Amino acid sequence: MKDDRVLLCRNNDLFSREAVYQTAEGLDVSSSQAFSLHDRRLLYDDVQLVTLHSDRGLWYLLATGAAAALLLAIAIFIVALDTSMWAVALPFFIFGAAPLVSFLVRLAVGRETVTIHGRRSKAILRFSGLRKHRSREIYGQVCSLVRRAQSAGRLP
Amino acid sequence: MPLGPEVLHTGLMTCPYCRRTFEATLFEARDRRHEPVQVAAETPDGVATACANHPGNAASTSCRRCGLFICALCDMDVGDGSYCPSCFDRVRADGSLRGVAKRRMDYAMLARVAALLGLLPCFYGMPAALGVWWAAKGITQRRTEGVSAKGMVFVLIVAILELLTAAAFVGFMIYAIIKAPSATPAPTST
Repeated sequence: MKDDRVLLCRNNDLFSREAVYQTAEGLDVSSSQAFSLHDRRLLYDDVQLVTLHSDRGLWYLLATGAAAALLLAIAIFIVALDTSMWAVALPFFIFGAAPLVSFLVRLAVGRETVTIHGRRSKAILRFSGLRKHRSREIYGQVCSLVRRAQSAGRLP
Repeated sequence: MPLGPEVLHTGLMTCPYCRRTFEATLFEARDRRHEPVQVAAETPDGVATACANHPGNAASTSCRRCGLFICALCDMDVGDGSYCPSCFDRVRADGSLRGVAKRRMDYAMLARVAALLGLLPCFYGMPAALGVWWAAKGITQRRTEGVSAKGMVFVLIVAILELLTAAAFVGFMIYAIIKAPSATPAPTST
């Protein structure tokens, strides 16, 4: 049914998931919130502005930083009490290392965001700072599709 | 805070609020101008049935839900029949028109949560049973939408395993209760 669409990006956070697909007429945004899926379409004809910017995401840094600090503090506390209890501290260390790596990666390379502002709605595509090239490619691709669609509409 | 059109231009820009730089491409979305459509049709003898909403227009069909005669202007053809505008609004609002439904259940997410809760032994596999049902529906939904269903197949397998484990656990408990030695002492012969 929707075979002609191409997945451009997935944005997942703690409370919602969003996928942006490219179609012939526009961008399909499929978002999931509170166990319900919601689809909307942003037509290329309606696009007014496309932006590309990089940021770090304060809430993400706070959440991953706090989780890493809490778990690693527990691990250090256990080892400080008794070094022979390292096996008890190990799971806390492993589960604390994952958010710590996420925190450090985000802090070092940031996040790239392509925003497509339409007349009535907008689509947001977020990429890790490690995929800067991909975000720039998508930015160029969307701009080119919008330009083509809008110039075709102006022909007499 | 949105930036006004007088501030925006194509190229590298600095946000006046957060002072961060960003790249922007400005487009001129064209205005849509709708011309009134002349759809009135007259039969050769001039006795066409009039549309219920537009008496000047000849009816081209009737509403599938209420039977009202409607002209081509009022005809909301959505693939599974023609509806008049008011019936279209009603059936769209109650979600019975699948072709134009914009909101639907996220069975994939429901299945994931159920499978996660099914890992807890205190629920005796009840969420796992729901997980199996929702994962099956999620696979169908994903295939219909043209999205990969591999993740849902994995969730389905996990939910089935949880369900089997829970069934074995309950079976073992029943077996243990049946085979347990009776608490009442056997009568002694004097």
